Amino acid sequence: MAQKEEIEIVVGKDGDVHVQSHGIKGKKCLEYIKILEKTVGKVKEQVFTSEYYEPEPEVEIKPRIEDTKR
Amino acid sequence: MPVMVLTPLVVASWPAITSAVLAAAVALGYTVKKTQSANVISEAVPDKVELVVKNTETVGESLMSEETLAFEKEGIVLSFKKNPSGKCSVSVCGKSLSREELTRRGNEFAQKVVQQYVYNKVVSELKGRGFSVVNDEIQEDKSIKIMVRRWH
Repeated sequence: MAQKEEIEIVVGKDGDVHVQSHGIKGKKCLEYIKILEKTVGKVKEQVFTSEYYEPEPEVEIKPRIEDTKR
Repeated sequence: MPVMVLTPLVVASWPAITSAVLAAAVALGYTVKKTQSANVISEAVPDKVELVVKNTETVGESLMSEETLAFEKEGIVLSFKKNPSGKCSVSVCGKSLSREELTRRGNEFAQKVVQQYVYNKVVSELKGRGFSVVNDEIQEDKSIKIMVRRWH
């Protein structure tokens, strides 16, 4: 099932960017840090929320057994 | 994901900065000044304030030239300049305004340019990564709040 990923960004009047995501769990968020850092500038502050420590959703692959006897 | 704060670093081509400068001017109610060159106006007025736009640098093919965009509003003439080394500055002049007020107007403009540039860059980057903007609003403190979403 598809996971919803949301990022809330506040661009302050001085250009500082505050970012908080919702639904991006585990170390996957580090990918977004790198993207935003590359896009905007330098990381000034960073606080990890509980979502960071939650496991990333796993993709479950179920074998499909087809009945070949017809 | 952490709660994260980033300090902007504007390193861009002159056309990309121009786009942010024009958007900032419109947002603050300035119009493009069409008469005379901005340099002539700025040099002729003794009481002008010149401010360096922090953390902003132009790169690319137009690097060696000097570029200026001039705007006006209620007797205030404001120029956004790029010098040949790529650094950007804002100069402001206006009759019967104190240096403090001119400085405030200049800083307000410089900050708006940076904010607009960062906004354009962030939205464009995230859209390119499959996010769509679900909410976009200017808040009371003049910050821009953007909410982006994607299904992954």
